[in-house]
Amino acid sequence: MAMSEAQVNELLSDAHVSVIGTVDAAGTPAQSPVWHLWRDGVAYVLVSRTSRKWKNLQRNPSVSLCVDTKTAPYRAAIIEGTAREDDRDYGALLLEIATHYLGESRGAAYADNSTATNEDSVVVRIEPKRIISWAY
Amino acid sequence: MSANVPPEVDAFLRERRVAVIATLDTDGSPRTAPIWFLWDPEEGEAGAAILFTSRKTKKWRNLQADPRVSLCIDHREPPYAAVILDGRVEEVSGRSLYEDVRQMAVAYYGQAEGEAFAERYRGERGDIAHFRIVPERIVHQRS
Repeated sequence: MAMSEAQVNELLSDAHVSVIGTVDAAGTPAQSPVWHLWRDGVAYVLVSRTSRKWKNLQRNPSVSLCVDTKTAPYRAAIIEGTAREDDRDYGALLLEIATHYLGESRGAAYADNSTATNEDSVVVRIEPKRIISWAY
Repeated sequence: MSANVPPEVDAFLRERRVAVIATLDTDGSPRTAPIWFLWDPEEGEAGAAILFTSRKTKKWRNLQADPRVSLCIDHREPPYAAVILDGRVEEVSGRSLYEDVRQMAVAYYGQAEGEAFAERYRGERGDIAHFRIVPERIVHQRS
């Protein structure tokens, strides 16, 4: 059963750990769990420049982001789109995302502990071409 | 060549979690979707994930064209953990689709709803692909 646009927006806006799918140099699918932030129809994900997913995305920007609940009621929204580097400040977005997932104080502590900047890390902007959703 | 499965990975895979499967679209783009799975340490040489899906699904059609697949099983509360199995899909033989579906459905939906769900998978179900992923590579992440 597909979900309404409002339900999809709500699911994407909630703090569910998502799974990012990319394709490596050999054309093999690769996945890893990530935090994401859904803002104005765009998903933001933070990655290290040395990560396998960023290497994959530089070669092939096609990306699939699966946002789903892990307990009943089961809901899923899958963003298919293209990834590119965004020029937002990495530290500011890290604080926003960490707070979103861990809450105010733990999120701030998490961001405080990080030394990552736009030099060594990337704010990835995922613009959806299509969003598939269902409830099961 | 199947990958060696460390005991902590085996234990993690036996816990109930919805996984995410990634396949390749015909244009080479990745496609992800949540999917139920069952870890069977007795399947294959060193264990395999057992899954099922309708043959009409995009993921199954993708896997017919290219059997390379990734299965991500992650724990979503801190401390985060994940196991990612990369390999190829193969249809299984000598397993009962009903028994496998029942085991998964009960784990995911609870006893009553799971038993009722599995009833539809008794007998011949030629429209359902019953398959396994024998991991060729295993990534275990902990934070």
